[in-house]
Amino acid sequence: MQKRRKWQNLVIGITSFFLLTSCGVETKQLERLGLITAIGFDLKKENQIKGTVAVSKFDPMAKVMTNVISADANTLQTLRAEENLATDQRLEMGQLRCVIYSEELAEKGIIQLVNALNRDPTVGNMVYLTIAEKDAFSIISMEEKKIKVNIGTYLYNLIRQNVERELLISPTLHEFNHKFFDYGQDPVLPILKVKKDKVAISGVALFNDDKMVATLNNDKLFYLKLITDEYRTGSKELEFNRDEFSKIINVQGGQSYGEIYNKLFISIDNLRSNTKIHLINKKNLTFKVEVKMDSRLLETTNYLDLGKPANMKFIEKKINKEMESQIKKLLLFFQEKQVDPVGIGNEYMAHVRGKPISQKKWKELYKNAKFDVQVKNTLTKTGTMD
Amino acid sequence: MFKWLSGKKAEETPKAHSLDLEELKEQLKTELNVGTDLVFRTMKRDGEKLIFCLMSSLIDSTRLDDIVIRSILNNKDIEWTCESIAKVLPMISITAVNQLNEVVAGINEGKVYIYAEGQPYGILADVEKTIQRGLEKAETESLVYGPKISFTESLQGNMNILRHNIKDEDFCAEDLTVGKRSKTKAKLIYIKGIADEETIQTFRQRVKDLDLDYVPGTTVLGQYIESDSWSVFPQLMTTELPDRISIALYRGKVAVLLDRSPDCLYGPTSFFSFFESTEDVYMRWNMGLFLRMLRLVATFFSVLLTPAYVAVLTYHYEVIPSPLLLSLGESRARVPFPPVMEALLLEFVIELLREAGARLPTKVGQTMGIVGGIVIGQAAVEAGFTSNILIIIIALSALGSFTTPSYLMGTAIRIIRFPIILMAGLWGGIGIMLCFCYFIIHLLKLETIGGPYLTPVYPIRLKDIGYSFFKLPPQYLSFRPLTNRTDDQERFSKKKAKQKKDVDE
Repeated sequence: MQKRRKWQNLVIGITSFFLLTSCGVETKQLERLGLITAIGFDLKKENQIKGTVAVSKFDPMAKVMTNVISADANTLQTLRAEENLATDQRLEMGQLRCVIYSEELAEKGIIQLVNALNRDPTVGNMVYLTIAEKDAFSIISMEEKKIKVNIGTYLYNLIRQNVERELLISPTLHEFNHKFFDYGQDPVLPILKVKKDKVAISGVALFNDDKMVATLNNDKLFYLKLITDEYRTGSKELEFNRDEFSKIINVQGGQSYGEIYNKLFISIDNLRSNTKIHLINKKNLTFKVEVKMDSRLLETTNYLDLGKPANMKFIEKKINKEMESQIKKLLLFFQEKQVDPVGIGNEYMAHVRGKPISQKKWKELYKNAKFDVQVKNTLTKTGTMD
Repeated sequence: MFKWLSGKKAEETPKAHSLDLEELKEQLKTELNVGTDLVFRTMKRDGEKLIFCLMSSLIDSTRLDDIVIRSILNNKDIEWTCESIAKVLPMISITAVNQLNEVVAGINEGKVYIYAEGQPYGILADVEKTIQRGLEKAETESLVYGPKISFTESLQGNMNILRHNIKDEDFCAEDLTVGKRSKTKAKLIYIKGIADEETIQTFRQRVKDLDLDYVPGTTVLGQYIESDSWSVFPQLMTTELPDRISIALYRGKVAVLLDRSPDCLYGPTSFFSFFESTEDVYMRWNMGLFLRMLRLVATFFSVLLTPAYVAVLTYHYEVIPSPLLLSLGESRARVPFPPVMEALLLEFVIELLREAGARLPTKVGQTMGIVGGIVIGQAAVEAGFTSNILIIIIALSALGSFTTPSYLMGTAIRIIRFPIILMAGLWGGIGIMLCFCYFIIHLLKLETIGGPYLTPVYPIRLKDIGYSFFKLPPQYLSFRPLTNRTDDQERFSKKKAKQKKDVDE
């Protein structure tokens, strides 16, 4: 009796499984798919965007091919439907690696296009978002022969390796969402530029809300990353007036080297940094940006006498001063452009009780904020220069 | 000596055989219908008659001639009575009987029945000849390290090997008979004071209660006495290594030896003990640990790698990392079947190769490997029949399943792969999960001789993990496995083991 009941249960279970799932789920066989690895969005005209996709498809005869398909539409969904008509393989977004928005589009706001990605469950959170300096189409339609791999993978590797080298703030969809929906911080995305048949990063775009309002060149990126994030193995070259260092320049055997520059360059690496922002005065809204770092002196363009502790202190002080002024300049620039990529707003909101303030209100307050920057750099090693 | 035998035949009313030789012959002939196999030899002396009744196929004729007949002929002056003949026979196992059924059973066992006419009873003398092959190296459980000796088909010989391994006064070997008709001799082996009384009782009762005509071997006996016959997983282990049994006995397990069966059955054996080789015990602990982990990981991959391939290529293309995407897609593009069909086909080919290799003689078997590996593997990919990545995966999972020391468990693992592949083809990752959960629940519910099958993972016995899942340095295994509920818990004193014997002391 009991055995029969067991069998009945099994039969009922199996049949209901099949019936409830209508005999299985939709198959997506890899070789029948056209995998979108990169999408570019341009503003075609008012009320219309032009989307370009790079599609990897697997052909039994030829090798892997990348197709570039373009279509005009208003939403991402119709865009994909339009593009699907132009290919023999079903387009799927699951292998999307990189999204490019044209600068024109970014200046008008990109959130509805980012949201379209958020709502698609097949799109991962680790997709990189980027801004094209001119149009996205010209980047996506780069000839594959010139960059050797398909454009999606190329862009993905381009950004990933720079993020890993700590030269860039990670621009994933996840981080964009986080910073966008956070009142006290604004997103930052890298800008891509076509340079002699290659795509390169030319800087970062600063956003106010979902609109791009300013750009920052590559050389300023270091300071942005320094105060927003932390460094584990960073490096930086600093420029100084040589005259200020005249007393510690070591003249070797009556000769002085490094005369090709009229300035002194010092490069430090193995940089480990930690930044803290404190709200020190609520009324006058004064923030103290405290940067602590350890680094190694790697390269100088003139021989410096590094044997004396006093000289090391001197170099440290010089570096601190230079960095402080650069950071201050950068913060004032952000303030002027009304962008807050550092997350100063978050720091403010963390210290103010009561009702959470709106983004608008914060931007009002942000205009009058003052900053006090303090850099404390310790040169732990001088490398093999001695 | 044959009390247990006569006891079994309680329904037959015992009756003494005829005192007349001719009548006795007739009685035996009707009882044992074996034709010329039944041999009678009658001796006459001064009107006295002595008869030898025996089964010629069962006895050792040199022993009969040299010991039994010669000693009777040499002692001419003795009376031909039961007592005096018994006195001159230089043998240890002789019995005086007169019941017909006892005589018949004795002759059937390979004894010679010596009867002098008119006497109230005769003598059964053991001159049995056992066909026995020599000791050989273990074939199915081959080892690099440790003793190579393996059990043979003779119960006597097997007991001999085991007895030499364990010279313990508490070593117990109870007699049992298996098979109502075949009456195969069996031994229930355990070490008193270590093995749990309940386990012994369960074993004893399950074997005794078997109401079967014939049991071909210990593996079949295991199937009859285990709890769940529907399961693919073997719940009791058979081994051909005597040292494996002695290790198991000292851990509190109980074993059954069956005559004419070259393996020994023992239990309770949990799921993880099937992945344990005796080599792990003989090797240094870290090597043993590595090998054991290797086997478990290999099994895990063997079960899940092919289904994962099927699921990913049919449903979850998102999870493929970009560097792998191109090579996977390229090799798949040439294949005309869906991934499930492709995987099932290749699994089928591998199973065919394995089965063919196992059935054929060794020399031909080697060629099978070459045919399978090179011809089918290479040609199938060239012809666009399967993708080369699947070939690697299938080969890996086949290898993984062969690392399991127990052949039965290895086969079980290869079999459970098929439903998982099917479900992966039907529902992708959800299907794999569903099937995998089903198997885990099944394993949780299984039991081995009344004990939990998935111990020490469930119910958790952290102390035992060093015995089954991992292997620990020997000084930490001062106790016997908790799950075996041994009476004597301690193997050696932990305190003493920790003492450092200094030079001064």
